[in-house]
Amino acid sequence: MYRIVCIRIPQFQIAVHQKHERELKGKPLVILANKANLTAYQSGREIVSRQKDLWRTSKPALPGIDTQQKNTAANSGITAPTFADFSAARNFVLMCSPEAEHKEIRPGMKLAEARSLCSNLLWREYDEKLYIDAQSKLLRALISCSPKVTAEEPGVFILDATGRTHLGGENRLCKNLLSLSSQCGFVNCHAGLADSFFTALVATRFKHRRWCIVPPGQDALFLAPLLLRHLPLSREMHEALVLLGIKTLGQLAQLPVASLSKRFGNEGILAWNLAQGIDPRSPMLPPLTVEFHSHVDLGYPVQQLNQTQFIVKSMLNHLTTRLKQEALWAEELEIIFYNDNDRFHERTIKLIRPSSNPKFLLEVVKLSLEAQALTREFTALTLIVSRFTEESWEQMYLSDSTSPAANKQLPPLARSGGYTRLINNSLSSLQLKNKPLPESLIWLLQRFKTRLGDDSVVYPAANDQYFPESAGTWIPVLQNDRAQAVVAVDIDHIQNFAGPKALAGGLVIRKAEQPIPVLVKLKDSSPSAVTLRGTWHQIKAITTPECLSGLWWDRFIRKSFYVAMIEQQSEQWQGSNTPRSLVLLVNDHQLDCWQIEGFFD
Amino acid sequence: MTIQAQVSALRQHLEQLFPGKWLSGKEKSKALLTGLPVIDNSLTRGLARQQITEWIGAVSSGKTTLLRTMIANWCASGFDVAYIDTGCKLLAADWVFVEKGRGRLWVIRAPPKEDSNTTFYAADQLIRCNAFDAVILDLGHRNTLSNRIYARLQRSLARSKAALIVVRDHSSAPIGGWGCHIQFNFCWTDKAQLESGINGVAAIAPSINLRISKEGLSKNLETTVGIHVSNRLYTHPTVPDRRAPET
Repeated sequence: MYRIVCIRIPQFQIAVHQKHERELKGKPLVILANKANLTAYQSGREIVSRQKDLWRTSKPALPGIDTQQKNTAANSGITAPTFADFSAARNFVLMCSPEAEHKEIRPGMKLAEARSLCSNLLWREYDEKLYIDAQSKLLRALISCSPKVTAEEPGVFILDATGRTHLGGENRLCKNLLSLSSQCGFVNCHAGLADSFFTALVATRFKHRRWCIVPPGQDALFLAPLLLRHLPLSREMHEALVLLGIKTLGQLAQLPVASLSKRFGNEGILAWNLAQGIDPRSPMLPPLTVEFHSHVDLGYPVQQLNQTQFIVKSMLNHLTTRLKQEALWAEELEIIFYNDNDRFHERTIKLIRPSSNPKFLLEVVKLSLEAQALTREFTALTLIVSRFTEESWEQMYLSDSTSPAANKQLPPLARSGGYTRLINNSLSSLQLKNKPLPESLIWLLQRFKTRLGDDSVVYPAANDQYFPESAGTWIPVLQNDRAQAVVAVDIDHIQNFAGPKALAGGLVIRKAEQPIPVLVKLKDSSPSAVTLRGTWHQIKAITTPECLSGLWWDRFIRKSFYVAMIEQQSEQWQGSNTPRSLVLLVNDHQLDCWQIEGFFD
Repeated sequence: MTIQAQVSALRQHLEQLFPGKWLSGKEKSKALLTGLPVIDNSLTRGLARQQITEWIGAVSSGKTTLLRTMIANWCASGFDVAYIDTGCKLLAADWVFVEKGRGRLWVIRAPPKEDSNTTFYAADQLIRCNAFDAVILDLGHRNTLSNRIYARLQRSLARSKAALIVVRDHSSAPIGGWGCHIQFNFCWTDKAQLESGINGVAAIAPSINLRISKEGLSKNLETTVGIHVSNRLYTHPTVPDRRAPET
């Protein structure tokens, strides 16, 4: 008799983010599905099926079974977003933490809707690589309990539990596995043990029992009283069975398989088998993990850049040869410096585009070393390709990519020329300009990314707000996180409706580093003079205030904005050439103070 | 007038309207017309590529407004512009419409705490990459631009097609930096146009006094800013018809 133990970590993706960023624990957090993460999948169908699986597996059916997931979209009547939905509108909530669920946030909502329900909502993008990394780490840890371990889906592991009689029994195995998962940072996890994977998975769904063991040969008996929603059925089949009066797995198992096959085809046979406790899936030996790392122990101290570069070059040559053999490209490098067994410095270098070109990689490492010099000498060095991806060679379009007419014919990514397809799809702003991206710009972006950070190079985007500071947003050129809350403005509409002048006021504001508090003399309830840098300035002209309030969901603002032309009152400037300034004078009604927030220049 | 001369005159006229696309040869490679007649028809004939132009004025003097108009014209003509914003003083809302053009505008935001060398490094890299037609180095109130830095930037410019504009806040007209080709000094004039609204003054648009200095020659000019009270409510198409269908 084959025995299988299943470990399930509810909301695995949320748990992974919370494990990596401790500050996310106990806070409302959602994971967003957007276009960027969709491209990570091989095809659109895959995500639809995976989403459907997620929806189905999150439906509890037994009294006492995990009520944490009761408030999922499936139960609240929201249908799972389809691929088309995700493509059309980004920033859908894919899953949410219990704290976010408590604030009535549900999967399938748009981010803007979720934020309107919870002002302090945190969000992260779906990062498949992060989950795969976490999953493989846990998988390696679980091997100590059983040699056959398989990760069936995110957060679900199956292990071989046969022959445990003389090894402390099945109870002890479950206890050990849960303890091991907790040590790896996944405290909230459940174990189920049965003859088949499906039964073991269902057994993990008891909320108040950390592990549940189905006695050998009793899978069908265990499944019989459970509701149909445990089965991965299509909506149509589920509805058809319910209309036929079949509500439990036991009732389904009693039906003749031939009639199910005739009515529902393969799906009917699959459902019948699962209801009987027959599931062919079983754990296998885990595949060997590929690691790309190179270590050099010099035995003498080195600090100079030239020498470091020479060492790194040979290591990169070695690593890139291996990468090419495996048809892979590096996406992220990690360098660890040692000084006599003392691991004193390590840095992660993200690449602007995946590459296995040693020259490019060496240049990037050199940039990083130049930007952030080592503080002390090192005697050993480890270079790791911490993230890699499969290399892709796509045919370049032969038509003129710069011609707008030609661009209309091409898919959006192809418009920016052939090699830009290899770059992170975050370079959307460049692609929108329908221009090929010169190699020099790629280098430039990599230099700025390495030296100044990800968000140093930006472009302006309109935001549907009316406060001066929030009416526009700086979007990083290298941003692949489209979650930044930008409510797009239809600029063409404004241009057509009110003319080009409506897009911006006449003068440019340069805001002060900090708002400058000022004293104001009022005359007929209108400001007549202000103090600036210790001297009184007379107001020569001032506009009527623009009184704005709002942003209550973030930080409530209630302000009156004046544009004032001020002139210094001083004996020094009795002549005609008195310096004048045009300032943005603000009366903050919330703080009950006057301040100058910027200068019109 | 021969046909060739007429075509040449037409090209020059079109260059004034849509700078950067109509002149060819040496003239095109050297001149970067701004689209502002006050600058293009004056002493300087636009801004020189491969040269440093200083853009100097008090904290509030109209220099950035004029600069934005130029950048908008350049982007509309398909030129690419990079702006180094030292101290992160610019508001995105003021620059959104500039991005509407065919050219790209990149803003490199250097926080105030950032080392001053970082901004010079960024300027040097932007010039050297040879991808931008104009690089604007906004130093803000930081006026320390040594001769060494000037020389270094000048050397980078010699191998590039870009024009470098150094924007500095300075209340009085300082002496031009070493290697500076043209210097523009800005201040508001006494005249200010007031736009009346329903309850009083809705907007103030002062005139800008501009002093251009080049190779010992100087010229005073005056220009005005287009006045407009921005209405931020036209952000969506027509209101959808929410009336219930007739029964």
